[in-house]
Amino acid sequence: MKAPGMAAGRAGAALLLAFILTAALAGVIAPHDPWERMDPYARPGGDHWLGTNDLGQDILSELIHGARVSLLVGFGSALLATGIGVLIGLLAGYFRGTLDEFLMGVTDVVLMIPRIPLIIILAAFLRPGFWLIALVIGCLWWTSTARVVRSRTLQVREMEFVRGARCLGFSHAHILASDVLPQILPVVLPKFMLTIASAMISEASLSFLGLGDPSMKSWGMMLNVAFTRGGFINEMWWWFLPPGLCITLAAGAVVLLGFSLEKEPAPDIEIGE
Amino acid sequence: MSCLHIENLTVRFETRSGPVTAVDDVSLDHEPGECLALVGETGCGKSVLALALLRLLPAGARVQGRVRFEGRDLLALSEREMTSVRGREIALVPQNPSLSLNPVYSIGHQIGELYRMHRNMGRRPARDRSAEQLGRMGIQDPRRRLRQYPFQFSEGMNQRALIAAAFALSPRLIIADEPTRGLDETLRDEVVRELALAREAQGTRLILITHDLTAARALGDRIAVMYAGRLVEIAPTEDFFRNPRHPYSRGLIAALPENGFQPIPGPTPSLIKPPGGCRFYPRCSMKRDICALEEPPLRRKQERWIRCIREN
Repeated sequence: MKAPGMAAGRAGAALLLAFILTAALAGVIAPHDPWERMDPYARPGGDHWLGTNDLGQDILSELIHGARVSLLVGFGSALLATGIGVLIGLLAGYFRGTLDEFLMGVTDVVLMIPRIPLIIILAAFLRPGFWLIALVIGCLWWTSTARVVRSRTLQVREMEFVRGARCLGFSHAHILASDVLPQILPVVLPKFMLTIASAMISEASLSFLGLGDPSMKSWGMMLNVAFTRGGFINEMWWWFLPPGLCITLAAGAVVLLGFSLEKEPAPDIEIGE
Repeated sequence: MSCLHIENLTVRFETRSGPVTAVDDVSLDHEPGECLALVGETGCGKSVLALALLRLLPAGARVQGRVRFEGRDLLALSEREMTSVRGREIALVPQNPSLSLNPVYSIGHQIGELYRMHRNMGRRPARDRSAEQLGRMGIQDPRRRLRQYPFQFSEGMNQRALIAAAFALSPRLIIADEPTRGLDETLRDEVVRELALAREAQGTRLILITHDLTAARALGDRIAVMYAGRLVEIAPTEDFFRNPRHPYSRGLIAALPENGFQPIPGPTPSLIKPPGGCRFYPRCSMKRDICALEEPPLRRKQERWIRCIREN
C-alpha cells in the first residue's frame, strides 16, 4: 500500500511545485507579455510555441500567467473554506449539545445550496471579479470539511488527555488549540488538498461559462475565449487543449498529493536522546 | 482555614435502562492538613465523586448538593471561575496516567505548559521548574527526561509525571484518583512515598481515591469507605485497620492478602436498582431481618461514623 501511494504523492508534489514555480516566476519565464498583440491566429512554431489567439496574444505566455490566477483562486478559496470548516467542526464536535445541532443545521442548509447556480445568480447581479469568485467558493466549499472535522473531534474529545488537561485547569480554548487541533490536522490536510482541486475546477467552469473576471487571464477564461471566438470550430487544438490539460494536471497533482497525505502514517516524532 | 465540605452530594446519570445514582447523598468534611483516603470497590462511585467536585462530569450528569471550598460553592461557580480553581487550587491526578498525557507533546512541554499558561513564565524558567518538580518525584536525570514523550516513559513514570504536574502550581488540595493502579509493589511503594514527601514539602492536602488498602493505610489520616454510592464508614486510619466496624469494612480487611484473601460473597449490587434497606444487606454476614427493610443512617461514634444497624 505504502510504496505506490508514496510514489503518486511524490509525483503530485513535483507537478504541483512545477506549477507553483511557473506561477511565481511567470514574469520571467513567459516569452511575451500576455496582453501584447501580435499576428492573430498564428500556428505553433518559431516565436510562438503554442501560436497566438484571435487578438494575436501569445498563448504560451497566457498559459504561464494563467497558472497564477488559477492557483491563487484555488489556494485562496480552499484556505478560506478549510478555515471555516475547521472552526465550525471543532466547535460543534467539542461542545456538542445545542451548539452542535445549530452548527450542523447550518452546515446541512449550506450543503443543500446548489453551488454553481448560486454563483451564476451572484455573477449576474454583482460585477464578476476574481476575488468575489474566490470568496464565494470559499464560503460554500467548507461543509464536508466541517463534517469530517466534527466527527474526528468527537473522538478526540473523549480521549483521556483532554480530561487530563481539564483536571489541571486548562481552558476550553487552550485545549482546543493545543490538544485537539493537532489531532485534527491529519484529516484536515488531505481535505484541504481536495478543496483546492475542487475550487480550481469550479473557477475554470465559471470562467468557461463567461462568469469569470475578464481582466484576469485564467485557464478557464482562455477556454472561454477559445470557445467563443472560433478556436474549437476551426480545430485550433493549440488554443484550447493546453489550458484544458493544465487544469487537469494541476487538479490531478493536488489530488494525488492529498491522497498520499491521507495514507501516510503519523509523522516521525523527534526523539530527544 | 481552608476547608472542603461536601454536603448531600448526589450524582445521577440517565441511562437507557434507567437512572443510575452513582453518588448517593454523600456528606464529607475534609479537615485542614489531612489526607483522606476514599476506598471502595470499582464502580462504587469514588471517581465520579472526584469528577463531580471539579465539575468534570459529562453534560448528562445531574449533580445535586453543595461543595463548599474556601467559602465558595464549587457547584455554583461559572465554568470560567471553575477553570481557575482547577490546577491552581484543586488539582486532580486522573486515572490511566499513560492515556492522560497527550502523546504528541514531550513530558517537559506538558508540565511546563502549566507554568507558562498559569504563571506566565518564559520557556526557560518553566523548564527549570518542571525539571525540579520531576526530580522531586524521584525521576533520575530529569532534564533529559523532560525531552521525552509519554510513550518513552513507563506507566509508573507517567504517573509520577502527572503527580508532578498536579503539584506544579502548589494547589491547596490534590485529589489523586487511583494513583497506584496497575503498578507493581515496588513502584506502588515509591509512588506512595513520593506523594507523602511532596505533600509534606508543600503542605498540600490530599484526597486519595483508591481500592488499594495498603496505599490508603500508608498515606491516609482517615479512611472513608464507599459502597454502592453511599458512605458506610469513616474512621481514623489506625482505628479502621485495628477494628473495622461496618461489616463491609471488615470484609475488605479480611480480603487483604495478609489476612488470607477471604472474598466478600456475592456480586456488587446494580446502581440502577439498589437493594432496598441496607445496600450491603444481600452480602452481609451479620444481617438481621430489619436490614432488608430500612437503611440505617450514618451515625457518629466518637471519632468515627458508621452506617449499620448493629451500632445502635
